[in-house]
Amino acid sequence: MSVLERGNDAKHWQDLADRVREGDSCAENELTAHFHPRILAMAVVRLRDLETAREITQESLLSVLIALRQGKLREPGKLPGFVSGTARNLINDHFRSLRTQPHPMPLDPETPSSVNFATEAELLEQRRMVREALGRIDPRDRVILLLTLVEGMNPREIAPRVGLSLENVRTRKMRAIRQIAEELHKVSRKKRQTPLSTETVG
Amino acid sequence: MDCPGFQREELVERYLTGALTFEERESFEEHYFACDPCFAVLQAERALQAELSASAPQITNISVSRPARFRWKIALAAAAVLILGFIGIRWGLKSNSSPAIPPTQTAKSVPAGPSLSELARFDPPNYTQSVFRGNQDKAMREFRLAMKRYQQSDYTNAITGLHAAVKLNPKDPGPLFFLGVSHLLANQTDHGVAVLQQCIALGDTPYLEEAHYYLAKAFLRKGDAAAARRELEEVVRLNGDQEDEAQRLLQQLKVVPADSR
Repeated sequence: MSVLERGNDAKHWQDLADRVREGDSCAENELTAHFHPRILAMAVVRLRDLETAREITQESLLSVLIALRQGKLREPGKLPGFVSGTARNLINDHFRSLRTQPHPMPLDPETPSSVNFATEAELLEQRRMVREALGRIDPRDRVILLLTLVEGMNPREIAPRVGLSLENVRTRKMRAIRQIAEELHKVSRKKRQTPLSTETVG
Repeated sequence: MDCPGFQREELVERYLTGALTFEERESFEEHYFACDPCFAVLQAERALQAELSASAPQITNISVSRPARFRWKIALAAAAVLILGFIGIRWGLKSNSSPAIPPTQTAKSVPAGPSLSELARFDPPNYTQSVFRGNQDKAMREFRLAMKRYQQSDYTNAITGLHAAVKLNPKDPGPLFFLGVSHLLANQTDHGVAVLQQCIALGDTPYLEEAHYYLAKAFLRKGDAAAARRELEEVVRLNGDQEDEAQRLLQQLKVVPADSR
């Protein structure tokens, strides 16, 4: 059973951490496939800089794998918290130093560094999918999504601008997001890839 | 954090727009590192955010038609005005005993004052980096790095750094003041109010007058004219650089309709 199917299961994380410690390369791939997109998402949201986010994602995964190989994780059942904490520390270090260049840290040749990196063609394809999905929804719902996700407005502020009730704005927004998320999920399942590229820049 | 379930979308939105508190953000991050449904929504909303940002001009050009109930209300109001106008003309023609009211008097209307949301607008207060010699403490370094973000209008990341600076030195009014203002600039009005009040609570600092002034702006944004007035009166009482602007705003507040937002 994959990590994605197991969800938040302490025993599963413990098992995965143990397998990495024992040198199981499949376990390393599994761990990277699960956490790479999450670390990248966190780094992009916090840094708004894809290149730096990529570097921090790689550094975080490398640190996690080294720690696991050396059996340094005290509570393997809390692996997701350990990974998010490691990534957060590196992001905070970046803010502190505002470094412009990454540390010249050579990547371990055994680290599965290319897992889940989307190609340029895949990125364009995903972008097209999102644009088309947006084109299919009601124009007013597009405005609601724009005001929510780009302008950071809440439904109470949006309602008078689009001439709808507060409840109506909430319902339309949720329906539009779910509709687009489902469409994207269906397409990505057909193509046997993750729901969206891990490289979407916020 | 328990899985937010049906409130997932709103939590993700607040995460993406930087509206979560420091603690909420860390808690949510830890959660989605293990939760697949939450992460799927996050990825979908991130992709949407990127695409919407790119196509914002086209989307905002689409005129959002008002719902039918507003249209018939407007039509009804217009009809009522026409009928009353017609009755008025008929009545004016019949009663010659009283002189016609000069057009200047009838046409004179009360000037429409600005709305509270218009009065709430403000430009980010300037920050000039001072040159320091010698070693700076950790709080000062955090503050200066955060203010670089602030100067780049990157308020979300400025907030993160300013939070860290405030944590290291909660008695320094500078980081508190700019943290409050950054929250307002990032549309996090309630956080902005709370932080500016903390800044004011420090007492007679170089930021006291400005903190009252921007707190007034925050209350105007929230539609609380009475609280805004109290803060502006405090600015006037302090007799500083913002006094004239506070006086002007107090005058404008007098003509703002009570229910204006």
